[in-house]
Amino acid sequence: MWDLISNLQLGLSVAGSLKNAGLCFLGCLIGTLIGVLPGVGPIATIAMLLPLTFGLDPVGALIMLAGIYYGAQYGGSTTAILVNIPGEATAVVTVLDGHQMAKQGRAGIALGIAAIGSFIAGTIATVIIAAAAKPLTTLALMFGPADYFALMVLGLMFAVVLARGSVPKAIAMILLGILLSVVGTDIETGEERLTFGWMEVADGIDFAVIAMGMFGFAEILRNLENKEARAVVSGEIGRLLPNMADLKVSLAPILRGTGIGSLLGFLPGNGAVLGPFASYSVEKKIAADPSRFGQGAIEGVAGPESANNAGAQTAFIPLLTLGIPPNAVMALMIGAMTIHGIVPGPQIITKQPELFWGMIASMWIGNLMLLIINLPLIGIWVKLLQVPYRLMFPAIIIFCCIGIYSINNSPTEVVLTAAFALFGYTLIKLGFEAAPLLLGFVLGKLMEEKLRQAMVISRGSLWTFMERPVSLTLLALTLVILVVSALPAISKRRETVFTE
Amino acid sequence: MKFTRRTAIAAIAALGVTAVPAVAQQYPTKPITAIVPFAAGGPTDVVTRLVAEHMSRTLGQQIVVENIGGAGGTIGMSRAAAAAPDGYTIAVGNMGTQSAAPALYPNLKYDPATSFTQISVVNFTPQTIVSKKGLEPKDLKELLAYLKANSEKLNYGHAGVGSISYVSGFVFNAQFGFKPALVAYKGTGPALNDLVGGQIDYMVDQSLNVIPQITSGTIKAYAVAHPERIAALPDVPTTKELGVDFIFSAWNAMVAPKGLPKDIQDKLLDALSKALDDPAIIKRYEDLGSTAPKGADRGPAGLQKLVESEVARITPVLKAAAK
Amino acid sequence: MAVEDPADRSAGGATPRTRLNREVFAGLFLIVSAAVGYFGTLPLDAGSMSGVGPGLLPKAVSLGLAAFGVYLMVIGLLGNHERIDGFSLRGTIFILGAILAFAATVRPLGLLVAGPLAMLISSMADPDTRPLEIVIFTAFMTAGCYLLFKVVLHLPIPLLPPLLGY
Repeated sequence: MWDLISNLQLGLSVAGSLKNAGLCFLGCLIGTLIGVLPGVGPIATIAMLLPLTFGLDPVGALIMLAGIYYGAQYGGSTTAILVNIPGEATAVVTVLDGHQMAKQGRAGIALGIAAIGSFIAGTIATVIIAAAAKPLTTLALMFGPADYFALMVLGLMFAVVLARGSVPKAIAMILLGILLSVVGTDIETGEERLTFGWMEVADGIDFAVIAMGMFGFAEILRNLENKEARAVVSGEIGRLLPNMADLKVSLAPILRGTGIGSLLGFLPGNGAVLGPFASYSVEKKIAADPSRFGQGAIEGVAGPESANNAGAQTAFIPLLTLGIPPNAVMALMIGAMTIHGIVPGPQIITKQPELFWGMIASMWIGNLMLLIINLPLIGIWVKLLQVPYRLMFPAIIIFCCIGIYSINNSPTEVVLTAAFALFGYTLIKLGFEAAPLLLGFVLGKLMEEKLRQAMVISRGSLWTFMERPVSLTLLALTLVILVVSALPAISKRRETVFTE
Repeated sequence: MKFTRRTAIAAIAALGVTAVPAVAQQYPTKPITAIVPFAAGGPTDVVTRLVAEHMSRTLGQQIVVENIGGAGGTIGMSRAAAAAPDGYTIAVGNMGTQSAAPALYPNLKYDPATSFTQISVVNFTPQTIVSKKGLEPKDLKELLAYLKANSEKLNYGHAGVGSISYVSGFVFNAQFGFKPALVAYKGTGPALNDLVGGQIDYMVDQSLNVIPQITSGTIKAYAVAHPERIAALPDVPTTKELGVDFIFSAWNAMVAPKGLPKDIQDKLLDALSKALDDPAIIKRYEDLGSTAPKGADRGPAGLQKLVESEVARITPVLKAAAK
Repeated sequence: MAVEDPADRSAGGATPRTRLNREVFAGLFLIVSAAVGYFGTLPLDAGSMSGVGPGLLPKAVSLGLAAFGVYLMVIGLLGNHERIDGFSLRGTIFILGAILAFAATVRPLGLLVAGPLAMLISSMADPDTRPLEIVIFTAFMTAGCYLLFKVVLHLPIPLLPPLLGY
C-alpha cells in the first residue's frame, strides 16, 4: 500500500511537470480532434505524428501518444452521438441511445454524461492498473483459446439483447456479420475466402468501412428520403449539461460499466471491444423498463461509455507487464517505444520506474484534461447540430471519404464503403438492424480463430471446453442467459400464434 | 472563356516543363514517399521510420512513410512496383514480400528479383528459437532431441500464413523433420501471449519480438539463429557456436520501382549508408536485436543476391507444404 | 425482454398489406446472402475436429442464414405485413456517386480536387440545395480539410495532381 502511494507520487511528479502535462494536454487535444473525425483513427494519426515526437524525451513522447489514444477513444463517442457514426467497434452501442438523445435535443446531456462517466471510469481504471497490474496479468494468462472462444459465445448473446426489434432478424444479422468477418485470407491455410479473387480485400474488410457505410452513409440516404426526419434535432434543444437527476440515474451504470470494462480490457487479444456491448446488455437487462433502451435511455450511454474508457485504459496492462500488445493501437505504442529506444516489457517497472509510473499517472491527468477539454466543447457540438441538413450531409461525406481513405491510404476502402452504404440502406428497408451485424463481425473473426486454435491444441477434443474452469463457467453463463431470454420470447410467440 | 482555359492549360504545361529538368538535376526537390506495406508500429515500420528520419536530414527533404497494408504486404509492394521510377516513391519490403511472396501468392503482380531497382538491405533481425517457460529441455541439443521424439504432441505457434514466424518455423521444422501441430494466430502479439501463458509450446520468431519476454524470464530462449551473438541477448548462445546448422534472419530491404536512374539510386544508398553508420542508429539496432548490413551485404548487389538466394531456399519448402 | 415483432406492428392494419411484403423480401435477401456465402466457400475444406478447416464456419453460418431466410419468408407469406417502401433513387445515385467520384479522383488529382467534387455531387442529392450557398460552403470546407488533414495531422494524402509538383 505504502509502495503504491510512493509510486503514484513518483508518477505524478513526472507526469505533473509543466512540460509533460503540456504534452499530455496536446495529445488529448489532438486525440479528441481525430476521434471526432470519422474514420481517421488513432493508428493513422499516431503513425503520422511519430516523427514530431523524435525531439522529445521518451517519457514526454509516450505521454503525448497515450493522450492521443484515449483522446481518440473519447472523441469517437462525440461523433457517435452527434451524427450516428461509430468510428470504432467500441462506439457502436453509444450510437443506439446517444444519437436518439441527440435527436430529442438532449445531445448535451448525452455528451456530458459520456465525459463524466469516462472520467470516473478512467480514474478507477488508473488505480486498478497501479495497484493490480501484476495479479491481473497472471489472470489474463490463464485465458487460453478455449476460454476465449467461450467468452465470444457469451458475447454473441449480447447481440440478442441489443436488438430493438425482431429477435430472429437480430440473430440473422449476427450470422451475416460473422459471414462478412471471414472475408479475406485464412490465417491457418492462406486460402482466400469470399474475396472472389480481389486482392484488395485479402486482409479482410476494415471495421470502419462497414460501420461508416452501414451507419453513417445509410443514415444519410434514409434522412434524404423524407423532409421531416431530416433535421438531426427534431425538438427544442434542452439543457446543455446533465443535472443532478441525470447523474443520479447514471452513477450505478457508470460504476458497473467501469467494472465490466476494466475486467474485459486487460484480456489479451482485444477483449476490450466486448466491454461496451456487455455493459449495455447488463443495463438493459436490469432496467425496470427495458423498452426505453434504443429510444434515448441515458443509462445506455453512461454504462457503455464508462466501459469503453475503462477498457481503453486497462488495455495498457499486457503492454506494460508483458510487452505484448493486445490490439493494433497498442502494437503501434510498442513501435513508438522502440523508436524511442525503450524495449517494452516487465523490466520497465524496475529499470525505468519514472517512465512506468509517469505513464500511469499521466492516464489520470489525461482523463482530467479530457473532461476540461470536452465539457466546454459540448456547447459548440450542440450548435453544430443546428447547421441545416443540406450543408451537414455533404460535410459528413467529405470527412468520411478522407477518413476512410486514410485507413490504408487506398481508394479501395472508399469504394467498399459505398457498397456497404447501399447494403445498409437495403437492410434498413428490409427491417434489419445494423448493430447486431457489427457485433457479429467483430466477434466472428476472434471466435473462429480461437475455436480453431482450441481444437488444434486439444487435438479435436470438445472436452477442452468442459475441462477448463474458465470456459465452463462462461458457457454455463451463456446457457443461463439464453434460457432466461428465450422463455418470455417463447411465451410471447405462443400468444401471437394463438391470436392468428 | 476559351482563351482563359487555353492560357491556363499553357501555364500548367509550362510549369510541368520547367519543373521536370529541375527534378533530375538536384534530386530531391520535394518530399519522398516511402511505402511500408504493413501497418504502422510493426518491425518493418519501426525500422523504416528510424532510418527515414536520418535520411531526410541527409537528403534535405522529408521522407514521408506511407503504410499500405494488405495481403501480407504484397498490396503495398505491388503499388511500389507500379509507381514512377523518379525517386519520389521508394518502399521497404521484408523477407516475406521480397522472397516468400511468390510461393504464397500465385497471382503476385511483381517479381521480387526483377520488378524493383534494389537499393539495400536496411537491417537483419536474427530469429530466436524460444519455448514456453515450462518446457523440459535445458539447451538446444536437448530441445532438438526432445522435439525429435515428441514433436507430434507439441504445438508450434505462428502469426499467420506468410508471417515471418510461419516461414522460419516451416524451414526449421522441415529441416529437422519435426511435425508439430501448427496453431495460427492473427499477429505476433496473441501468439506470444499464448506462449507466455503456456498454451503453445515453441516458436521461432524475430528477436525483436521476443527480447522483452526472454529478458524477463517469461519464456525460454534456446539459441539465436545467427553466426554471432546479438547485443540485446548476450547470454543466449548462437546456433553456430552450438554446432547446429540453422541460420535464419528476417530482413527488411529498401527498393524503388524498376528503372530508377543510377544517380538517384546512388543518392538514396548514400543517405541510407550514412544512417546505418550513425552511432545512435547502431545503438537502436542493438536494442532491437537487429544488425545493419555490412560490407558486401550493403548495397544493390548484396540485396539482389540475398533476394535470389532466399527465394531459392524458401520456395521449395512452402511449395511442398502446400502439397 | 423487449421483443417487438414487426408482425405485431403491422397487424394494427395502418399500412397497406400485400403478399409480397417486407418479410418475404427480407427472407429472400438472407437466402441470397447464404447462397453467396455457401457457394463462395464451396471449394474450401471444412476439415475435421482436430483441424477445423477454413470452410467450416462460413458454410455453417450460411446454412443458419438460409434457415432464418426460409423462416422469414414463410412468416411473410402466411401473414400480412408491411409493404416494402421504395428506395430514394435520387439520394442513392448522388450520394454513392459522390463517394465513388472521390475514390476515383483522390489519387490521380488530389484532395483539393476530389474533396470539393464529392461535396458538390453529393449536394445534388437534396432538392433543398442552394447553388451559391453550397459552392461557398464547399470552398470553405475544402480549405478547412486542407488545414486539418494536411497541416495539422500530416496525413499522406495527395493534394494536387502530381504534374504540378506536389
